Amino acid sequence: MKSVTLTVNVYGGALPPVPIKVYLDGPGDNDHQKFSKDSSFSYTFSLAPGNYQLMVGGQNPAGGSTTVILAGDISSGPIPTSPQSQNTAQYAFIFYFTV
Amino acid sequence: MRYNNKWLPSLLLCVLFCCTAAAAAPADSTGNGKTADTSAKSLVRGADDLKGGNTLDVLTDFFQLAAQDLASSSKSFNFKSTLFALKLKADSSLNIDTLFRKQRLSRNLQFDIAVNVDQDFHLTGFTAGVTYAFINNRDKAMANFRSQAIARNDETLLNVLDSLTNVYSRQNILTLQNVHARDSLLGMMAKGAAVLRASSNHTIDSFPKGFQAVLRPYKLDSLSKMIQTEYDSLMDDVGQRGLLTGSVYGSSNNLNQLKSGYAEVIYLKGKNVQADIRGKLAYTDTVMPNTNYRLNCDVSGGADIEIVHSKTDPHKSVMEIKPALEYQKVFNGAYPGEKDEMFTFNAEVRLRITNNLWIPLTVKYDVRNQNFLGFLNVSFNTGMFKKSLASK
Repeated sequence: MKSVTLTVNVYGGALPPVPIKVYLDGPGDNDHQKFSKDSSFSYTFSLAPGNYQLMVGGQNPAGGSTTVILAGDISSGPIPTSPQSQNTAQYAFIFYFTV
Repeated sequence: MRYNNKWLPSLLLCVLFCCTAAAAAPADSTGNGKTADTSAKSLVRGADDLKGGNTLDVLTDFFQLAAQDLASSSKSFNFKSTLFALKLKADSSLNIDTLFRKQRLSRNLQFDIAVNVDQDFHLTGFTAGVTYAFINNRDKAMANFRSQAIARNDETLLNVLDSLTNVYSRQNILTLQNVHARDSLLGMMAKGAAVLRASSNHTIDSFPKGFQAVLRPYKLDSLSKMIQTEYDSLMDDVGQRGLLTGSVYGSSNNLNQLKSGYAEVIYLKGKNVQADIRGKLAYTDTVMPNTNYRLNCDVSGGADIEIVHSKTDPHKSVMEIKPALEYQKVFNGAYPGEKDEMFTFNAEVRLRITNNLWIPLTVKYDVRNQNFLGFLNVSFNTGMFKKSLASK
């Protein structure tokens, strides 16, 4: 198993207006993970080899921004490169990577 | 007695101006003039007013340089900021939500330093004060929509988007042998998701053509636009909530003696029609025959009403009027011929010249003496300078 760490930082507010949603889709039928967080966090996945899609979505505080950092035992990718940041009211980050 | 060194006030003004101009940030494009001209309202300026979330520019948005009473014989140049702005300059990580929420006190504490000069720009003294927001429910940086429909809509959109993108990528992109073509399409999938959610577009046009056809029946672009509308509306509602501030100010003369001071409480609530209640107790050093100080209070209540807004931006007020009732009482040191009590009906009209420049004209009608009085103020934010420079 390989480790991939997802770090999400929310800037410019006390908390994002709605929870941050995280979706991880892996190569097997049981490799789907979904969870949500109320504020900035760091989470480490333990993953079997294969191709993964990771999506992080939510909303920014007014005038704020969210930055997503993906790091760890990634053999190919991520696409797009990490870190990524969005300062729009709503955001959705999708990453593709191989472990 | 006046300072003999005529360069001192000019030097102070230059330093003040340079510090503020150097820190100038993008102007507040929300353009709500109602936050522009009172110390109470300027506390609303916080992370909610920052554009782009660029932490390097965060601090500068808190600085304000204001020239007041330009048409009168006494002028002042202000430097205004919050304690949070200074702390952020030293530690930019304070802008992260987990630390940001612990900064309530420093974000609600504003200080103000001013250099006062006469019509010939000779130093006449200094002013210093602090303002604290005891109630700041209109702080958009604290907005929480978890119990609102927008939270469910947000999750619905993301659930569908995740499911569709995952299936399409595995069936149509990850199976490609051409690595360059595969990576290019995966990049388009990521970009498409970002654009779908972006406030300026909300389209599916950035996704690969084949995936656009898959997405179209689900109308995620319409859902994203609806979420944006909900978001803007809810943030607007936050901006109408109550704000209660207390201020203490003091001014010295050029001999560093206390010349005047005041304590003030302000309560604001509402937006298009905003309740505005104020109470002020003021002390002034005087040289009148019977007393050497003046002590008076001023209580007013009124409504700030937006009468004209921008055609292109309905949230941007262009002209406002504020009718109010005001009661003034002089406890000590009434001027010769002045009544120790006055009850007036006031009307303040404010006209927006630029995003950050307002001209307020206040007319007071003394009901008992049937007199009119008028005052003119001009104030502006340094963000205006940087914006104009950037456009050149």
